[in-house]
Amino acid sequence: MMHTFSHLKLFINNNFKQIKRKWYLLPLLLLFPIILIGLVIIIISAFLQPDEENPVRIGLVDLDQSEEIQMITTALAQTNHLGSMVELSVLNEPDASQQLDADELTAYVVFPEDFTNDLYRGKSVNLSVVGNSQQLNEAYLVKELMDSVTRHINTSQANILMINDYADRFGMDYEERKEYLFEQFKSFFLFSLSKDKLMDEEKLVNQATVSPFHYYTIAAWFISIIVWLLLFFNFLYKEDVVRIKKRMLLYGVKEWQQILARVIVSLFIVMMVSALFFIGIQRGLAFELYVEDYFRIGLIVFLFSMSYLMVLAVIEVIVTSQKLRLLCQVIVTGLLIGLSGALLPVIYLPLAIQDVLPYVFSAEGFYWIQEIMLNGRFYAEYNMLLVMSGISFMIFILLSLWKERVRA
Amino acid sequence: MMNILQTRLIHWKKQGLHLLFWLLSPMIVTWLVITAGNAIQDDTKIPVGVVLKEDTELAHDLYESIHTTPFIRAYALDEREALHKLEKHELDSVFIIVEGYEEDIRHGNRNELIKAYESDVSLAYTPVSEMVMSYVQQDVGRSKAAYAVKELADTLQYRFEFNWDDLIARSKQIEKEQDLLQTTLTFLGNGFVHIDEGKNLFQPWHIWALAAFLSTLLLFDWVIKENNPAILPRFAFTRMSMKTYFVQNMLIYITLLFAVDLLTVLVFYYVFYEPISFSFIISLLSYRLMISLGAFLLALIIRQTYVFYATAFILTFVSVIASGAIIPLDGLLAKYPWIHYFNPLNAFLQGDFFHIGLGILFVILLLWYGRKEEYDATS
Repeated sequence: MMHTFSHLKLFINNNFKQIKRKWYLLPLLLLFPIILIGLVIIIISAFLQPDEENPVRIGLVDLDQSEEIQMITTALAQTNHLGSMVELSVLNEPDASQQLDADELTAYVVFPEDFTNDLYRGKSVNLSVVGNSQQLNEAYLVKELMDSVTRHINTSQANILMINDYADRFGMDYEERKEYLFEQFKSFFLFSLSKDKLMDEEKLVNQATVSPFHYYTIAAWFISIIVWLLLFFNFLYKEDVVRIKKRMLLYGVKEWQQILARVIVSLFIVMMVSALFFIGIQRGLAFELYVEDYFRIGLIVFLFSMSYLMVLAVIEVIVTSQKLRLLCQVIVTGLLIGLSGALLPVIYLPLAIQDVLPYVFSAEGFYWIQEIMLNGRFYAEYNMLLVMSGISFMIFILLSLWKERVRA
Repeated sequence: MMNILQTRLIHWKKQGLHLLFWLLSPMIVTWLVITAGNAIQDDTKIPVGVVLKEDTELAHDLYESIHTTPFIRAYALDEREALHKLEKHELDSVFIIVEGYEEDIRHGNRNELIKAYESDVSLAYTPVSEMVMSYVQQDVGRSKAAYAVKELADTLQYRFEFNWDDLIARSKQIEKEQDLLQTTLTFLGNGFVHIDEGKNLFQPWHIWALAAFLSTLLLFDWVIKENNPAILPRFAFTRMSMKTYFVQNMLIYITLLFAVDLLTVLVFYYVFYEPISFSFIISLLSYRLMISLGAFLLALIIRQTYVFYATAFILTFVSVIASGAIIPLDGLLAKYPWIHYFNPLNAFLQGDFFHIGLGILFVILLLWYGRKEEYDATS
């Protein structure tokens, strides 16, 4: 027992020395998750921000030449929710296809011949959207826009057909009926564009400081902790030559002692760094927290970090190939992050996945951090986390001992 | 060259399984990611609470419509429970069908038929409320049409007995009978028209590009293992220089990898219906050459395999996020076109033949090859 502790102490000291020797890598390790998250934020905000200089250019090819289409196109140009992002122009088909090839158009929409007549007669009509394969995402946006327009037309169409049916039955002649139907079409189309009145909308706010922004700031902090743990745990890994391994075996050093020393050192450093990061977040966003809350959050972070590091340690014991081991660790890390709810809140995940989440320590940890910080809970349940870190620790020790047995 | 090939084959025989695993891993990873991604996408639903304040047919029909919407998971709850769950962020939003819903619709009243609540972290409120509104609108629209028919009969002074329920039933029937308006999206490109169904959450070749990036880097660890100070002096006693040895081996690896790539093209054609074209093969070859050259040169600089592996993983992390294969880069690229030059995956993802990175790496390779060697018997 004494030996075990002195070995552990030795390895821990060794690890700190290793860090001191490679101090210049420390800022890189610490900044790495922050840089990655920053990149994600930049890319996503650029993706969501409408580009004023390069609007989505849509060509409208009108083979039908009817009043109805003209009305739809003007309504489209004026009332769509994309506003200044979209530029519409009416073209003939050869021009449209030529401009598409020259990358001047995002997509063009073809209204086929007899479009309105077919609609009035209840025949099936196909609106074809031809997209530019160099602007894939924008082309899908146009398709979505057209889908919502056709939904408007669809809901009106059955009603128009019925009115037409009755107008015929009431003895209205063809020309008069056509005029009348156009009036009705217009009225229905405009009606369907102004549907916002149907609903009385309210926002339910349970705390002053909650928004998707707060949620994702905590998520970024949470993901950083996991990435730091992964980086430090592997940064401290040292390849031992067979000769040294043999010699250490003679001194009674066990593999698990070395790994445990790395676990302790990584945990120590990451706890410190994440505490600093947390204080920064707390200053910036002003969450309402009491002293006990800090202890609760600290304990939760400690417990799930412990479980996570134990999982990494188990993988290290099982998988001997370095390449494969890193791959396994990365995949498991990805799964744990994905399941934690830090990327997509768990309520949106498939039910089958939601059922197993109470047994996933990252989800459990993130859930309680969220409850304390976002929902103002004064309570956290540690049993599950405690049990999980205990079990993973036992598995790690047993596997490691068993492996040494087999090898010896 | 034959000698090199023979020695390489002996190497490969020894690490057969390992080699096979890393060669096939891009294909397998792609399949796993696409399958899992689609399964999750299909089951990812927005939890919505619906409160029925009245027990009428129209209200129940509305609930049924919301319930059967593919992307919504609807729960019928009472108002207190629904709002409590919304406050605890267990629901995305709550829709209350107010009392008098059917009555209002029958009388052509169309204001505030639904009361909608969203919370402060609702991520999907807009699409859900759009959907719910379009359902309500169907009901309101039918009623409007019924009144239009009545009005028409009045102006034409046609004797017509107005029955709201009959007219609504007639409208529903017409809607069911008709094949209504549809849209399709097609792309014109390289002479063939490719109908896009937009089914996959991720594009197979994009995922493959990332997986191949990692596996290629990891496969080139032989350079480090064989670039061993203990072995290098022996080259002086062979007919071959150390550089020639490495370059020829690299060519063998590239040939093997590209053969697997061609197999991948076939597999993806049958599994994901990805089209095959000559220009795509060229683009694939260019990408293959670039990442192989990059991996080779990187392995020449680094002395320890573990550092090399760690570098490979870190580069892959960055690519996963910043290459545009998973999160689209269009917004940034439109603003800063020069990003293209720093993103080695960009050319392949766009289907281009050449990326500046390939040129630069090739020049570096030539410079390295042209420099004088330490252990060279001929010099």
